[in-house]
Amino acid sequence: MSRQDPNDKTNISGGVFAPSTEQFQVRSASASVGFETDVVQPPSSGYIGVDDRIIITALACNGNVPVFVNLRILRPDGIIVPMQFSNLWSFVGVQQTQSFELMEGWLLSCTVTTNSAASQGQFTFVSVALYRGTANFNNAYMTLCSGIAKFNCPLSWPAMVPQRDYDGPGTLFSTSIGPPAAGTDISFLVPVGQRWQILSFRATLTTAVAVANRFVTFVIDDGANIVAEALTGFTQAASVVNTYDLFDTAAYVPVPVNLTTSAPTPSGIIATANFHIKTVTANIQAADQWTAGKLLVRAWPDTD
Amino acid sequence: MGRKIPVAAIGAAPASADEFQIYTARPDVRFLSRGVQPPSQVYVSVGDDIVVGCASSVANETVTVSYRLLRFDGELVLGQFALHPKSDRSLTVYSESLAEGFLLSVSCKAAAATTRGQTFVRVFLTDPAFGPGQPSYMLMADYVTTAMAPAHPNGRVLAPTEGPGNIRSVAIAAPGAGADFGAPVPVNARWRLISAEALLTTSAAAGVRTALLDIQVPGGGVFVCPPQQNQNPSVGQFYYAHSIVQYAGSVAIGNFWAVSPGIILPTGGAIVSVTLNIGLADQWSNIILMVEEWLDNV
Repeated sequence: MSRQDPNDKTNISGGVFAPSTEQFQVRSASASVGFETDVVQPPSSGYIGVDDRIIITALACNGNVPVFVNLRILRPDGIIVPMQFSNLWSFVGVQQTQSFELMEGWLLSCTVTTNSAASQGQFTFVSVALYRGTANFNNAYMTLCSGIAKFNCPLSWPAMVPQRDYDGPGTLFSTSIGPPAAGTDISFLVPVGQRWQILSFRATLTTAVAVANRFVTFVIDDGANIVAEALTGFTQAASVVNTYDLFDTAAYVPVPVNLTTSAPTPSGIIATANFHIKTVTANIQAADQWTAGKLLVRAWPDTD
Repeated sequence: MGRKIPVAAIGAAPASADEFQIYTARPDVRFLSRGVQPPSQVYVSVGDDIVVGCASSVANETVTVSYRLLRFDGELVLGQFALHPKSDRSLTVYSESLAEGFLLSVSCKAAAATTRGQTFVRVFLTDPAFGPGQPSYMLMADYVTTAMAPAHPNGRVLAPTEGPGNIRSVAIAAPGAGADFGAPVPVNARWRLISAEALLTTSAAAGVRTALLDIQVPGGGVFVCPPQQNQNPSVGQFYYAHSIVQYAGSVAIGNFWAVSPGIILPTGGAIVSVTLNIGLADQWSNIILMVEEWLDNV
């Protein structure tokens, strides 16, 4: 019985044979390099000695935000040990430090996360390092992660450059200012542990019947000295309600439009702890009342 | 030297390596070619997954993730999968189990996004010991485009709000007659308003209109941009909003709103008109915003 002619493309029925797999054999180059898989160097530059520990420093700008620090350590016996440190950093605006024992081995990776979406204006600065000796960042010999810990945006080692507390775009949020007592001006203190760029300020002054021309100035001081002033340009008489609307590069509109005047704020001012954001109302009367104060700021944590 | 370049006949076997010999200086250093240490620091242990989170504002987006894994037995494995994020900026997450070995590289490529601010990808490894969603090793997090394929190693780990965003124009549908327009910031986005333009055509109804531009921030922060001048009945007038506007005297051709250059509006914010004394037949139209947009909370 003769073999089938390989050039015969048809069978007896006239249909086309499927080509044999030999004709489609993949002739790929075989690798010349062979990799070691039995005795492999530990895949890390982070050797942890017997006496080394981890130090975690956090500055929470809002309370009760759980922060998780995840580590994987390759022990000398070849076992990979996952470790997780979590804590609620409840002291707002106060830098806190915790340290933990580690074990000898090689640090394979480290990540820092929070497990909940931050609300407007919520942020926590975290720095993680290895140290030896007393629990102090001055004894840190290897900074692993540093930056703002956010939901969905983990800090990590080794794939991330450590960042300062005020690196990056900051957090945008608005905050209300409670009404001061009648006859007094607004004076808002920037919280400890934060730095603010003031984007806009808005508040309403209701003048009493006492006859006088009030003149409002927007003022920023550093706790001791006035560092910036912005005149509003509007003279407010008795028994008038006017909202002062100030923002970066706003045009001066000293004639009320819809009971509102506008004026520019000092551009680019960064206010830190102890700074005041306030109004100074010339000729303010005992029954004059500031209300509905609002600030829009871009904020960063500040450990300085 | 007159050496004849060989021309292979059709159907002939491939030329031998001698024909392609490379004449170069021989290095003094000798390299291992057997028993080589894995060229990666990313060890993948049993049970580890590769997780990719992706969000986009572009229609018909496909993000292709390619990786190379040196398996425990020395075999180099190529892996590839695709994600199809919706254009509503919601987060799409995909995870895939990996074999034990060393991850040599990961790269991501977009099929539709052409600029930063459109399609964001985050790639990391997870260890089941840390719990769901907890990363054990961040590989990269950055915007991807059709031309730029961020990768590991040498890629960056960024938040979606870092770096330049997507500069885009946003056309706002004209509201009904007698109504103001509004442009809310989309969910999972943040906007920086660069400029705006809108046409207000007033009817014959008596009354002077004052068109304000309100910038609304979640939490109640609002600031109001008053117009340079009021508008009379039976007039069609364009309004132009941009920063650092010097209000001049009366101009016939248009009107201005001075807005702040640094205001970034998160989700929940809006840019709206508030027209005092608006007539029932007054009409806003031709409303265009120019914004810089980032993805946020993804």
